[in-house]
Amino acid sequence: MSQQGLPKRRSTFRDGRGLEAWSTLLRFFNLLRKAAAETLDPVDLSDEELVVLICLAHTGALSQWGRSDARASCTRGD
Amino acid sequence: MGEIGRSSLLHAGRLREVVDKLETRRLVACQRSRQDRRKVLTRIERAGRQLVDNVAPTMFELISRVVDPLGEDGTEFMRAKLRKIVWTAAVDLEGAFADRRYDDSEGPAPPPYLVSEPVVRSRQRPPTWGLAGWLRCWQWSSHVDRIWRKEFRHLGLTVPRLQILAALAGAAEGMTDDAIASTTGLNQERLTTTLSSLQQEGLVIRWHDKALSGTSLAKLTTRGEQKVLEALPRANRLADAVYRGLSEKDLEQVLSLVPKLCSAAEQSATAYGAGLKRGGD
Repeated sequence: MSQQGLPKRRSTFRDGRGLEAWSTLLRFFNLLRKAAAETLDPVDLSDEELVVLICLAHTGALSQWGRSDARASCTRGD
Repeated sequence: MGEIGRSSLLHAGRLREVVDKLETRRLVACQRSRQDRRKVLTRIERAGRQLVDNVAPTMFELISRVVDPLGEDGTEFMRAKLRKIVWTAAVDLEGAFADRRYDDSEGPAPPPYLVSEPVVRSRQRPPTWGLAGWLRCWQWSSHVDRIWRKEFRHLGLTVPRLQILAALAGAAEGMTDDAIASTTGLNQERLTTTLSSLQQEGLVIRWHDKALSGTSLAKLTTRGEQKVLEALPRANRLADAVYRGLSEKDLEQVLSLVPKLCSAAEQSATAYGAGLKRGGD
């Protein structure tokens, strides 16, 4: 694992601060997912499905720019 | 794992399920590689692209609402720091993508979509800005989830369990279900299931307060308090891991901005939920 380029800092999280940071962050993700789910419900799409489509659409755009072999790939464990 | 796995940070098994579902709906098409039969190539179909195009304005609006309280400078700052966090996560995850049978490149490198992103001001945001914002938040969430699954499972704490315990840790007199839901952002179903499970394990007690029209309340037991204390050092260490790519100064600023994002996301969830219900009537 490369550690180059990462800033070194002392541990910022002491006492209950780490748990507080986790709680806030997880709350944000829950709320954002909730809002996205409401948004995507009419088109019957889950947030995960949207993410995969976005990734594929992005790669497809590259294809239009001349990289015809740049199809997105994923490997399935056989 | 391949490009989709790298970009979405989705777990391989889950990614396969999602791709299968999209293929059934003919939003994507898959075929095996001629060079390597174990490899499956996936491309987006016209219907899939159309769907993404249709969703783009809504996601643009959603992400705009969520980042609005940060202002333009705060949004750009957060975007840059998220890039750094996600890039750090991508470097850390190279081990997971280290099956060289499927890799042309050597060694960890930031995914191409992370390499260069010009600063985008609100007046010139492209239509895909919301999708990019959503993807970035998703990657951040996946990064957090991965760390969580790797480290917190040892304590028998799923995400909702720790969220509820953490919320109750600050409420000696107990909290109502609604207050816990608001503090954690959990939906009612998940909240009820998790509270029941915590109660069965003796970490939480629940009762109905007659003075509050029989409202259900919950608080930590002594065992629950001990569980929280047990989780604190790990939570501190892992919070450091989540934000590892940031300097001390940037970290403080990010930590001050996340609660603002929370408030805006809560308002958006409420607004979209209300809109949907009205639309369904």
